[in-house]
Amino acid sequence: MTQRDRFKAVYDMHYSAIQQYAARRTSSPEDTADVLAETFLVAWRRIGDVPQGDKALLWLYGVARRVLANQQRGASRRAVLTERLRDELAAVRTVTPVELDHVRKAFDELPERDREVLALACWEGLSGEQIAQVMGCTAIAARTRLHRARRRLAALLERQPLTMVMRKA
Amino acid sequence: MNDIDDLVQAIDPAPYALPLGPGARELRDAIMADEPRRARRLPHLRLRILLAPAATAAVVALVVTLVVTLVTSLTAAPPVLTPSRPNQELYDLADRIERLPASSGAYWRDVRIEGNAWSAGGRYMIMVVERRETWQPRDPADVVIRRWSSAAAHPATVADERAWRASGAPAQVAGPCYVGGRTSCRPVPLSDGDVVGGPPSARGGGVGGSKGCGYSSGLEPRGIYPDMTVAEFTMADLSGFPARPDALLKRLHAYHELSTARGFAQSFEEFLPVTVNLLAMPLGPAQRAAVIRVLAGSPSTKVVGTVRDPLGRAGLSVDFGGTGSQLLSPDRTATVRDRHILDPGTGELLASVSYAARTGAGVSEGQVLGYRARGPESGWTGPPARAPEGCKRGG
Repeated sequence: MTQRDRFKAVYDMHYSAIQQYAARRTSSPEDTADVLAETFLVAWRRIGDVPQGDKALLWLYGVARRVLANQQRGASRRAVLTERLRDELAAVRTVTPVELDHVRKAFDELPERDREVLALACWEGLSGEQIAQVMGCTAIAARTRLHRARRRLAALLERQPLTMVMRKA
Repeated sequence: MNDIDDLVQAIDPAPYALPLGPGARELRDAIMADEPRRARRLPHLRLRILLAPAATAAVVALVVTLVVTLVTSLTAAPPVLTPSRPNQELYDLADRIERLPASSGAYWRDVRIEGNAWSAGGRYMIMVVERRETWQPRDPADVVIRRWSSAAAHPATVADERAWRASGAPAQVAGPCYVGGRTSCRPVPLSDGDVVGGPPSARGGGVGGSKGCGYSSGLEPRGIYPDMTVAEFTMADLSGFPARPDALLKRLHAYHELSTARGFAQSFEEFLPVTVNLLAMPLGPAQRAAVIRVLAGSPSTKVVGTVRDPLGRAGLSVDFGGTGSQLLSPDRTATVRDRHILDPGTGELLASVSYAARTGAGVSEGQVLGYRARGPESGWTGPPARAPEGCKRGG
């Protein structure tokens, strides 16, 4: 398999997951596109280092996390952004249901590290061990952080009015 | 998974994945326009790219170069921007789904899970859940099978769960009794477990469990589809439904005139929102796309955003206007606003949900007071292998 084939396979397999990861943590389609472009640019330049199998996604999450940290530190940039990509990303505008505004507010009040560990667990659906790989810590530390983040969010919600949970299938 | 995780999941800002579209493929090709560097020759590349501002600037420079390459190499397919319209998300959804492959089968299976909030003696609210399913044959010479389950309930909210536990966590409470309908409030089992979906063995006597379920099977010679909210359709009618919005609109006007002739005094604009029910019927992707486009053009239609439905699935929530009311006890009602949640991948109706329009009568604004969700098993299938196991014929 050539480097091009390998990158194409990694990109096609994980584009959707990285798009979701980026969209969850950015406020505009332009920023989402920046994170996507830079994450996969790093993957292309380091295609020989990208692990095989499921670990490739965790590796990409780790890169995207650092790209985001750079972006949030104020390094403004506008990456490869065609109108078509902008349209595609803009088509998935999301709104937190009004009845869950208080949950969103409480979540936003958490420290960044708590938000990230909860997001990796609940949005990306990662286990403690996988979170550890993305965040660069031990599995025990990841589980401890997750436990504390849940407790802090519960404490914030306790101060809020009615909390509703929809039942899952 | 605990309640906190459920709540975090419910506020997921990007709950469904974007498939690899043309724009994403352009990005991929633009990135690959340059040769990758060999990691062995540049062992510190990662740090340089990710942490050093100078390297970041280099990445930006490369990206800018790629943009130029991309722009000059895309003359064959220049991007076209279409101006945004009201409810653009619905038009986008229609564009996405209309060319999906159509599926088929001998039977259309329709699984409905309905939840209705009810006051448990004024102390807390419960959500009473019932499951019904219909196997509608494509050929009216085959039997129609219907299956239903006894209701089961869970506390409606976390606060209600606390109140339920504080009152001794009774395993059974008086269920809904509707004015003018059943006069005795039949007891329903109440638990804090999932009563929706999942294998019956995991739910004990919950909804869909073998305890308290019934079924019927028989011929329906006219082959009328059971949902008659828009009009009476045979499966053949549905199969020949228009796939163009203008033709569909004409057909809907004819249905409206028929409904007016039968004494339903409502304008076409008032009638139109009910056509969202077509999105739960056996239509092909192009026909669903036409329905979505017609609804998107209705003045009362407003896209609310992406939400999770009562079964936890992400979907596009749409308001078609209007409010209704929901009975919470024999002498108490609440005003509700209805939302319809569409599957972003297929355009099918996932659920219709009624939210409390305002705080009062023991409920909070935005609280779910009722829903009707399509089970994930719904869709085209083959004939059922045998009668529903463990269910009593005739109920």
